[in-house]
Amino acid sequence: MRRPVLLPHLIVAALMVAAFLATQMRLDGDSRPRGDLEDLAALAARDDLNVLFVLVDTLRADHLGAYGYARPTSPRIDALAETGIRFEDHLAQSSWTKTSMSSIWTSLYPQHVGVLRSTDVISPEADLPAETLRRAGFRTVGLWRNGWVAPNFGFGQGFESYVTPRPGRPPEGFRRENPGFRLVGNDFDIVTSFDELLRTSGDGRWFVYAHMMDVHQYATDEESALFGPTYLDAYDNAIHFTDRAVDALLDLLEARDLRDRTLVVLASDHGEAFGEHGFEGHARDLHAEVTRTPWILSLPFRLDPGIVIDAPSENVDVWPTVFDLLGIELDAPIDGRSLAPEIRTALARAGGAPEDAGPRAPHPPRTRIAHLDRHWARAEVAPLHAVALTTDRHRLFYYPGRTDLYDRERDPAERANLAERDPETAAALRQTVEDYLASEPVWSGGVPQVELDDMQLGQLRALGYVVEGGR
Amino acid sequence: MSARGTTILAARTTARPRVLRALRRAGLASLLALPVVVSTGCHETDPLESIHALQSQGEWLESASRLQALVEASPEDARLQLEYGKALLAVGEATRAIWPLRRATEDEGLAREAGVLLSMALLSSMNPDDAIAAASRVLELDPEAAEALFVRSRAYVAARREEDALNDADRYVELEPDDPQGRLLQLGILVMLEQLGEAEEAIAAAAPIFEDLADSKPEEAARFCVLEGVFAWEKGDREAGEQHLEGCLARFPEEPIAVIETVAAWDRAGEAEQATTIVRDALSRDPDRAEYRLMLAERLRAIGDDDEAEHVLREGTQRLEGPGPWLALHDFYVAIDDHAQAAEAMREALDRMSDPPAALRIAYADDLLLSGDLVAAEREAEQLPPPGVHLVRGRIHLARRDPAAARAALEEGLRLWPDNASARWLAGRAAEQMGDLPGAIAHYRESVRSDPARSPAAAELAEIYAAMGAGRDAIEFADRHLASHPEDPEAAALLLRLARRFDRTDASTRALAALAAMPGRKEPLRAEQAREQGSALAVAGSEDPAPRADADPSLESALIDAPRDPGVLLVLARALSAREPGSDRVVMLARSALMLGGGGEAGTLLGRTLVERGDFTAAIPVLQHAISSLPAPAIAQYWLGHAHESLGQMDAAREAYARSLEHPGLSAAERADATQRARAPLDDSRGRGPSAP
Ligand SMILES: [Zn+2]
Repeated sequence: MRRPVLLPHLIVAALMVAAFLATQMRLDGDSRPRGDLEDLAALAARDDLNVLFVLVDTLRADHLGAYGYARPTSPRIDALAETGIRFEDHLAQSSWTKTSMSSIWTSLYPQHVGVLRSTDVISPEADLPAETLRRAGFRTVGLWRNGWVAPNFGFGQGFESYVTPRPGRPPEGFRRENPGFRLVGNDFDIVTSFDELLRTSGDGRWFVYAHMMDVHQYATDEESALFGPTYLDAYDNAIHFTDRAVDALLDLLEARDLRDRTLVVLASDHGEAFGEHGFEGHARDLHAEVTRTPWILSLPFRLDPGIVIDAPSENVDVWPTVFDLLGIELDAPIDGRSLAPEIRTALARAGGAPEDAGPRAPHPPRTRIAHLDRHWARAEVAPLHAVALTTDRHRLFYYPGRTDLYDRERDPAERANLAERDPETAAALRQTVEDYLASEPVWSGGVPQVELDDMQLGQLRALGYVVEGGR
Repeated sequence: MSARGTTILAARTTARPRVLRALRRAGLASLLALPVVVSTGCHETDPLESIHALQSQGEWLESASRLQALVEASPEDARLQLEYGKALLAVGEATRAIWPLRRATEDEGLAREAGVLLSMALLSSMNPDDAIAAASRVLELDPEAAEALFVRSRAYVAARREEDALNDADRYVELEPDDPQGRLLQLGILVMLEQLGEAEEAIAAAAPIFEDLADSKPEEAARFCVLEGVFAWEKGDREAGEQHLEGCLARFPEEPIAVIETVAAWDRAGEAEQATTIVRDALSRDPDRAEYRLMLAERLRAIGDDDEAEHVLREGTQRLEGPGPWLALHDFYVAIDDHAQAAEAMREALDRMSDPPAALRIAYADDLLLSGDLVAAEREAEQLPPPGVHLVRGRIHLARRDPAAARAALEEGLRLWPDNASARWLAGRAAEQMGDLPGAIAHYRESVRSDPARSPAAAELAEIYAAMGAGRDAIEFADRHLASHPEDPEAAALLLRLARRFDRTDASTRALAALAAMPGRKEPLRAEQAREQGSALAVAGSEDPAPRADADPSLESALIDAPRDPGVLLVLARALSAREPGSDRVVMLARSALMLGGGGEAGTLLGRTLVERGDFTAAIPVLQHAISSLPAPAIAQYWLGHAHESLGQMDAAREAYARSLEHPGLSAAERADATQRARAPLDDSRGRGPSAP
């Protein structure tokens, strides 16, 4: 007699296969073809590419799975890295949104942009990526929610539409850091705008800058409230929530078969401190927790496996690299550099053609800069510069009358100050910073100023800025 | 906060911000709420015809979803994009409307129509810079496009470019002279620019238009009416303004704006009682209007008449349907800390809702708990979905002295509701009761981070750090607690106490300033002992023209114990006045004493101090009020004489000096001075003339 369990067993097996397929489809909601070095080289010649620049405000690299975090905060962002390019040793140019974003867009160090205080404006002389892309025939759209990148600070240059979306209905159980901060809405409002943009104008080439704010706001809903009661947990919950919003953006591309025609760039303007060096939040100092940010490139094709670039990189490199890959030439003076050569080398090696790639040479030494005017909120007093200089070996923190020096390899958490033990290195690096601080913004017309009106101060207060003077 | 910024005696401030606020309420606010004007033009294509039919039946949502499908299929059809954008605007989806409208502007034939709508969409999604650009593109095509001028003017207002806004508004009014909205816009901008003369002319020019609207659009006509009155009042012609506002009330008794603005005008004039009378009258005319009832109850509470406030709110529950009046009553009981009554009111409110939101059910359980009925609270809590169940349960465990269970439950709730400052504070208390001080500090800090106004966590931290001897942190958190509880005298007292303990005069100055700025509210006075101490010192102070230097600390300690005792405040003010006559601190303390019921004595000191500061116009009404409330107002009369004299009002000055001699109270020197000034013709050249309005 046949055992009666067989049929049910087969049904269960079939269901399991179906479930597996469904999972596959879900996890692998990625219709991009596999690509290689050749496809990378071909990008420059393609005339059908779009660019989606996802800027996740306040995102520390070390809280993403892709960068080794133990908690599963970011499955979708991790998947971008696993099938794309991840820059392992990446730094932001400041810990304050406005200064940092000015450097991303101009590829210049903060002192050379001159946007260090609340009233500074990016010079109209700057030729920002949106302007370049608009000239190249892209429809340029900025979707932003952080008042520090408002158009009156010069951030709208080149954008055909530079829009802060009006908030829609929040998800069930939606919470954020402080219910008193009136930055209403959430990053799914950006998703809604992106959806409508693709529906009405997705048939041409576009460049979209999506500035996500929910990590900054510690925003989450019940679905993403995974990790516990403290604010550090809430920050991780917010990353998970934002990760879902990023996934929603990608799903919209998938739904319109645009994934294989879109270059996705993910970066952040700064991290977030949890008391590691005495502060909570950001825009107060330049330690690793607030300057080590992620940078991930997701190409219009899948890399299998994805590649990791170990060479030092920083936010001023983002656009030189993207333009290099897209075959767009830049002639403005910049501090950043293209990492495309490193990408090609890594890709060639991954493709099993080490002879093309040459020997795995150590990357050339590099000095990177992060800079914060700690008096950014106080127009009436003199600047109080803090500069972090990062070499391959060291990290030097310059303050007026004080120098801190850390060994990057042995002390990545920046706890043991070596300035007294190694005064020569400290002095030499301090001199480099002093030379940097003695340099001027590159604009012939100086740095324009804006008067912050009550309304704008109100909006910034709504972000939690202004109130405490330091966030 | 600068001490000067806290003064309510606003005689010297310009009229602009107040007029502006009034105008904003009266006119501009309505302009910023975007009316969506959508034409349903006739077009030939079939799908559009049926869609227009839907729209003409008000089925905008359905029309939008059909248009969405059409646009999806043919994004290159600019007409469809325009129609889709219009439909999105009509259903309030301004940001989504931006994208199809932007696309439609790329079609030459539609650029103008789509451009105006695009500008509206951008403006109502709060993107004024892009709105300006969109309207400007329309005006490049057609410089006479009135709608574009109107939208762009408003966008300029939103971008704080008032001069540009005025240019566009002027041109709009030229093109559309009969549109009341254009007139209101122009007027609002003129006031923002402080061009009051031009504003007056604009009011006169617009008056006939609004006159005609009295029947057809009473709300707009009423807005304009109060605007005229407020304008006259704030310009300095109080009597005309008052009369005009009374007229508006009579003409538009049904329009809340008339009541609200008249009340605001009386409040600004410092005549709160008159303002309350107007609310009371409005409510008796229209007892079913909830907003008048709430306004009246709030005002009654502010003057300490809780019984009458309760009566007004309870009457509302009898007259009006639905949960609203019960919720108002609930909030009242919570505010006076009567949670048993609050729970009852909430029960009534919940009974009137078919599917009450979880937040209200949590509030109900919380009320039961706070009223001491833990069993009922627990029964309610178990019905709640997370995180409510965890939070209420945690609180119950805490009340039952089981801090470990409390903490676990609260932390589970906080995972889902991280910005609940009260729950964080409770978790901190649980940790403290478990002896886990670092855990408590962490929770309190996060409570403060979440919202310092919602719990006493900052105060707890200040005490903990003080106990640890960490003065800097203690003061920092006491400061934050006070900043987030600006009306709580205990918060000021805490800062004052810690400031003295850690020898921080900067902090004690902040505490005193905050105390002085607290709104007056008559409360039963506490700390009898402190009052006695204050009275004893008051006697000493009045006898000793230069009080001992060590009087201050003892007074400050009296203030800590009785921060709302006008007697204590007055003594401190007097002591300071002897040392620093006319200082900001004296003004603040005297004013607080006055507002807390310090009466004519406090008024006299405040008036005198204002004279010493040269603020004669402000001093006069204060002194007059003091005179009317004192049996023997010799000193007030004497200083009133000085005030009038300094303003060159010689007859009034002589009369005041003469009256000052009718009562005891002046020192010998003052008597001699007053006698001299009352008799001798005063040298008119000493007068400074009336200060500018
Ligand atoms: Zn930021």
